[in-house]
Amino acid sequence: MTGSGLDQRVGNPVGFVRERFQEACGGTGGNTSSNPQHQHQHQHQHPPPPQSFIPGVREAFLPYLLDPSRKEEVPCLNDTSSEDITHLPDGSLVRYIGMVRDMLNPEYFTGAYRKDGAWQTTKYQDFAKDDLSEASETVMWERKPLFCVAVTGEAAWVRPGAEAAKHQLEEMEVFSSDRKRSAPDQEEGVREDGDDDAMMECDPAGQAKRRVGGKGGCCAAGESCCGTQQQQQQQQPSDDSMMEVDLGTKVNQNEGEKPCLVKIYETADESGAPAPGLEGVKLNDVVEVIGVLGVDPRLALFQSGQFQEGEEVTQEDLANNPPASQVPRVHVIVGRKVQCYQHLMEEKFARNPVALALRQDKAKLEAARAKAVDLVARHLQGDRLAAEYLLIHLLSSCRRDAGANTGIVVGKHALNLTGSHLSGKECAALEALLRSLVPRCQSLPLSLQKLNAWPLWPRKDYRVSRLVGGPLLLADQTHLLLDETQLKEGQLAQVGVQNFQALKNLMENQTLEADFQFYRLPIPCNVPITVVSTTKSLLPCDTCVQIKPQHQQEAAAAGSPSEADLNEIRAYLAHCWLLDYAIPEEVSSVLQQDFVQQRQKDPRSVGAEHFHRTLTLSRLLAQSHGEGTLTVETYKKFCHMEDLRKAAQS
Amino acid sequence: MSDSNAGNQTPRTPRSVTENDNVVEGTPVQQQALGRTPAAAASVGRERRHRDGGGRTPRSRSRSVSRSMDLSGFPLTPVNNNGTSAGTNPVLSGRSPGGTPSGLLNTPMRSDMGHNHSGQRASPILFRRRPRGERDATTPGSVYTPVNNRIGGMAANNSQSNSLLRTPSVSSGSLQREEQGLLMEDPETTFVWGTNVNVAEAQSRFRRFLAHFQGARARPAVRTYMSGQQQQGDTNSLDSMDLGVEADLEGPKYPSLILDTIRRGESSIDLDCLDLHSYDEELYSQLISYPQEIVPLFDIVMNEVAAGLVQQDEGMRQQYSGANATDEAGNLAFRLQVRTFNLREVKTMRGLDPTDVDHLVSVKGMVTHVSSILPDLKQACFKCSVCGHTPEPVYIDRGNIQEPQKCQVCNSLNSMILLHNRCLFSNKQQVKMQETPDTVPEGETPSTMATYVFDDHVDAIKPGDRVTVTGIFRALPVRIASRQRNLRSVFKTYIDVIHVEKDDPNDTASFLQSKISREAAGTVSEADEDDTVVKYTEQEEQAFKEIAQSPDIYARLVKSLAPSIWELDDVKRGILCQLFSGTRKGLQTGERLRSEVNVLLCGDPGTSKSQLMSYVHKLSPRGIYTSGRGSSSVGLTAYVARDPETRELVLESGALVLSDLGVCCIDEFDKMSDDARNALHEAMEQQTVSLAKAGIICTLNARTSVLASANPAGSRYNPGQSVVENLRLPSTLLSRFDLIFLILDKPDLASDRQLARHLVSLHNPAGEQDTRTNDDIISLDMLRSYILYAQQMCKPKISDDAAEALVNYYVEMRRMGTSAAGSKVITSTPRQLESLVRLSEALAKMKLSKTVEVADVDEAARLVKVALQQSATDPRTGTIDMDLIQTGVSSSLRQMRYKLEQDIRGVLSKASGRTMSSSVLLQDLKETLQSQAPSVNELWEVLQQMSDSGRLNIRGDQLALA
Repeated sequence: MTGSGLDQRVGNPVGFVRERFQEACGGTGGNTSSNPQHQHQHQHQHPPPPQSFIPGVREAFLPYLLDPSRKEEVPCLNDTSSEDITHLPDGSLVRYIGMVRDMLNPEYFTGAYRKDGAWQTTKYQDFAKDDLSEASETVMWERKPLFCVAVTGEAAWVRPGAEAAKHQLEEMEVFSSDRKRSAPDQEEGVREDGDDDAMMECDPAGQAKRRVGGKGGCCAAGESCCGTQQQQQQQQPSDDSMMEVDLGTKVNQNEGEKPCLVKIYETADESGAPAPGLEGVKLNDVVEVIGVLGVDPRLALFQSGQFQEGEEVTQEDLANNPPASQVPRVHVIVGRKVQCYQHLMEEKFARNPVALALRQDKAKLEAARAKAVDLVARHLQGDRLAAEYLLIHLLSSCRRDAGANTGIVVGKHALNLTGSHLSGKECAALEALLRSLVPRCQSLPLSLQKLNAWPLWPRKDYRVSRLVGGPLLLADQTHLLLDETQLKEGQLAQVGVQNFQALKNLMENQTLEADFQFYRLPIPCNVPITVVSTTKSLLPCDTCVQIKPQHQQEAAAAGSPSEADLNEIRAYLAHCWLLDYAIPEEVSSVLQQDFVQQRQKDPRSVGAEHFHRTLTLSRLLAQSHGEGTLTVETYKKFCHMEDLRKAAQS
Repeated sequence: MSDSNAGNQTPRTPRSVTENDNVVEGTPVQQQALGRTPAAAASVGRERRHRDGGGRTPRSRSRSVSRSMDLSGFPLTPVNNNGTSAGTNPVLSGRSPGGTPSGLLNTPMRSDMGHNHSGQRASPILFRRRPRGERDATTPGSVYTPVNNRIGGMAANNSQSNSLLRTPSVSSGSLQREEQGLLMEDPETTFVWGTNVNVAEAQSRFRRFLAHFQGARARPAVRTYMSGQQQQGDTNSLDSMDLGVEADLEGPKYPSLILDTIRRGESSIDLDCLDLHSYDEELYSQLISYPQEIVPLFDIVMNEVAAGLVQQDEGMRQQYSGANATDEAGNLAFRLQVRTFNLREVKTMRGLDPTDVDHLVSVKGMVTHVSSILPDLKQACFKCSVCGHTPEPVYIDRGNIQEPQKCQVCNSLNSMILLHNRCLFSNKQQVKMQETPDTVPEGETPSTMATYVFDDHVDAIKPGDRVTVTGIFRALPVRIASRQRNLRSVFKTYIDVIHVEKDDPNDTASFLQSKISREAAGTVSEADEDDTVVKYTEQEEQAFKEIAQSPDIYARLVKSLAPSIWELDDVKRGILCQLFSGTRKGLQTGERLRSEVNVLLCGDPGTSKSQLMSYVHKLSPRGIYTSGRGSSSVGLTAYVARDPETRELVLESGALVLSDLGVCCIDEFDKMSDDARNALHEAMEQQTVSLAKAGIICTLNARTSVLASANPAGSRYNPGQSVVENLRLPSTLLSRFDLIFLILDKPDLASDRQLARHLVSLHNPAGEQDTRTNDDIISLDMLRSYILYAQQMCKPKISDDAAEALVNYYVEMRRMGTSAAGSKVITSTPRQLESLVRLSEALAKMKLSKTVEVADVDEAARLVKVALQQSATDPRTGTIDMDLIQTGVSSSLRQMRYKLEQDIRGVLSKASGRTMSSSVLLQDLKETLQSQAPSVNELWEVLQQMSDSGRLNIRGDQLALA
């Protein structure tokens, strides 16, 4: 099982799985397939495999997920630097990291069948090796497809095979450029098919022979095409809301990266315990999976069965079965959820000397902190106070109270940077800065036109039975930068108002409501928000900091930071973010005392909200100094910061 | 329902296909039966009429019909079932108003069984051998005799289709015929293919069940809501059913149910599977595992039993056979389908797994999309375009219709034309469902599920409905191309629906429909108003009682209500009273006393009023949450709209009507338009909403408790002003609130400290958890069902002691006003006494106590006082003054004004010429009254008042007494 098996796992994972399967099936009959005669005798006694779980498979592939050195052996679908990745054959073992954008209905498939007396499995494959109609017995299994896309707003430096920061500009363009021109993505792909080759989808008799283009999507012409169907196809692209379908994914699409249909198999192992790694995957979660690549061109030839002609292929079917050239399948053998900073630490800084030094040496950490404040301040016209606030804001993260009943979000923070001089230009610079520091960052210009143009919240498109992701559907720890400087007076349309509500809800409760037509479901998020505006923001930000330009420092802004410095700051942020945190009893009593006193003085402005904020920011300040516990000094320091901030505001 | 009445030969005349202009969708059954002959329905094609000539007279047709009935008949019935005798009575007169023609063809069309899936089963033959009875019922050889070929062709069709559609062997119409030789074997040894289910045994078991099962009470038919057209009829039928059941409570449940169904002319019988389970577990599990086979067996047995019952029943026999001279087919004037529902396990869509495929499942979901009606071809009739020969109809075989290649008569190739209006169609509709929000785990997307509904379920449900469907879960292999045998390994899953139940009391559409229909039918009485009586198991009741018996139940409930909201315990107590509400009382005069408690929360922004409300909204069985800012008066009450499709006027209900028997939460009450607020007046006291608009005049029940929240007019509460002034709400509306709570953000050392500790612990993951232990907290779900249970089961009576206490409190409160301010201050009104009663009852309900004790009254009085002290305290005098709430003007203010008027009169009368400018008057008053001098505003108000009442003339700046 070892030795030669190792190669086989990467080279021919399906074959490996089949062998395990046959071992498991033939197990009762003594030896395995090597003894056909023996098996023949027993074939009628062999019961069908009781469950889809195949012993030994998970264990065999786990090292490729967890062991960094073994990981290298598996090609990564996200690796855009390598051209080979687009030419991987069907059935290769691949690695993929993506954000769950939609969860499709479970898929039932013929998991195992008996042919010529022996049980075969189709697990981890799109197609059976044999003609299933010849199988004498079949077993139905279930798998769950997740529609994944590349992590939204992931900074270039985090990506595998990162090509430095030159991506940054492109991405910004993608984001702000008009939708027609942005990068192709899979939804577009589905539609383009309809657009360009109206007949491609199907012909009513289902006899169209379709070729699948290697790259540019599948296209072909059926010999005959029913008129009505053709009409349908032609009408559909002009449909306005269909455009929205594009938009949602497009906005969240990074250039050059493919979406992927990730198919999860058993949710429980032999004993019925939930399979570790991917249990309870939610929307927005980032998953890392090792599995079998499915790019069989036949996947595009989707035709549903024998029902009745005329209702054969629906939009839904097409959307859920896009051509493999655009949306490859990954049949997951092992997988896990990816936590943003934990993963970053593991991947980038685990053996990085700078990161190690930070962990051990308080002075080094303080030095890194100073560098970070310097760097941030340079982008904020030298305002060091604002820089401090922004820096600690970068560390913010919320958590939901454990009590099932309460659902209170603790630790959320939204920062508002104001300054009369701010404009889109400063905003873009700030975004570039954030992008170079934090692993995930997304910006969103809030102009009237854009707010009114399309919904920001995710909603389900029932024609294709797919969730159309609004741009606000972001992975955890994606810093959302809202550019309010572009907002002018004018009329907000219905959509605009709802967009504002969605933003407000995201800010206050860290939830995003997905619209499922008859009801809305809240999706929990963890997205720190920074609003840049010329005056106090419309949105309910927790902290508002006014930037006071310090002219003498502006000259320093010229030089861009070195990659080494950036790396140090990144490592510093990741380290601080991951710190555990506690409030000791004695500090707690000081805090309480202080709160009560302040409230006596000023009952109007000092309340629960205020105290929440104080506690949150004190924590962030402590963490930014690499401290895992709150001290009275840190608290006092924070109070001092607050005084300065208030003074600056008036 | 509407569809299937089109006539014998084309029971399904889909709108898109039929040329038959006789088909009127939705015509009541009786009309169909009397007004139209099958011939009329079928003989529309001009060329056909010509060709068929005399052969197609109603006579022959009727014979064919009757035969078809026999053929599909019931060998066990004592009546003549040897119906192949030709030339018997026409069907025309024979069909009683029971609606046979429709019933005949309609019912046997078990469309829900109709879709065989060729899945992985090698052979579609499901019965290896067929029981004799079955054979008789389905495909007698005579059908295929040449004699019948033309004239009785339709009969053959019918019988064939019957057998096809009712039995699971649908797919193999041709095979059946070939098999006939094999069918003579003993049913005793007949097993359902691939199983150990013995057909005969299953049948006899079911027969036993029908005969012996003792039903307590038939569940009300859910179909009431399902068809708008038949509301009236269904309402009646509902009553009759109830009557029937009540009449023989002791007897077996199903015979009476069957008879009632036949009397109503309906064709489906709802079989409560829980009944079946309690009677015969094995049969139940067989039903779950092999619905495709068992359900048709049930059909057969059900019809046999029904036929027998009709024979026994004098009146019925008269009705169903009397008009038919020869009594040839009297017992078959109906055709029943079994609709199984109420499975033991209702699954979520998420919970379905591959082991459920081909099983009977119950799935709960919300309808998101309903397709247009799909005509489902059951049997195709072809005609040769060359010679006009019409060969035998062709049946569905695995979803395909085999078109004859060659005409048998003239031998021309490919000359066959499909005759649409002689084909047999059934109604089918695709309904897409989606999981209900409560079953979706946090952060996941709801699953969806395609279902197909048939026949009278078509168009019965609408998008937005919450339904529980019972049906067969199917998986259809997906092919790469439809003509290729090459299968992908993937399946498409769907459910063929047998029974639909709209099960959600929150479901606005059906709820409203049922409500209107019941109210329109005048059947509303207090007794049956709680239409959603939930049955509780003993376990549940035990659990409720345990909760109720804990000594600190009141405190626990308070703690469990919105545990994340800090403090505000008195407010929570008030809201609890609202949730439990008082006992509903009907006076003998027909009036009703309000039992609902209305609560107004008024307070500073940021005091978690909205949070509290959204919690209540979640908790209340029919909670509706609206914001006053966006609500219009029609949005709150009800409005008349024109249905865009039918152009009929329909009544759409607003928030208050929808939250009937629930809590209607209105946020931002102060920001509501006056118009909208006025709409509340009636609802809050009379508990009804009246509507007179566009030809609809009606009164709808709106027995809703209103929980409103308002901000003070000046965004922050001004302690120097009264509540009324702070709120700027009409006092007529304010007086309708039982409790008005002020939630003020006042700094308070002790509570602030507690709050701080609470918050720090929240922010301190390592620190100790919240001091409150979680064991004490009743979970939201439990709390919800506890409240429901208490509302339903508990109707506390006021004990004598409590009554006396109530009186005492009332008297005391009234007296309190007089003693405090000297005179004329009223602290309590009869409305307050009623409130007190309601609150005491609610408090008793919380303990599931049968009587209202003095302690409850004490607590109620305390709550009222707390609320009163907050809201009705006159800031000028510090005493409680109900006038504030009642009229908006405190009596001290009124007294002050009176005194001022006297002073003004005094000053004016002394003045020269009895006129004086206002500034001089003010000066004068200041001199005479010194410290008690009025402010300019106060003076002006009084002057205005005097002028209004004509006691003062104001000319420019000059004031003169009138």
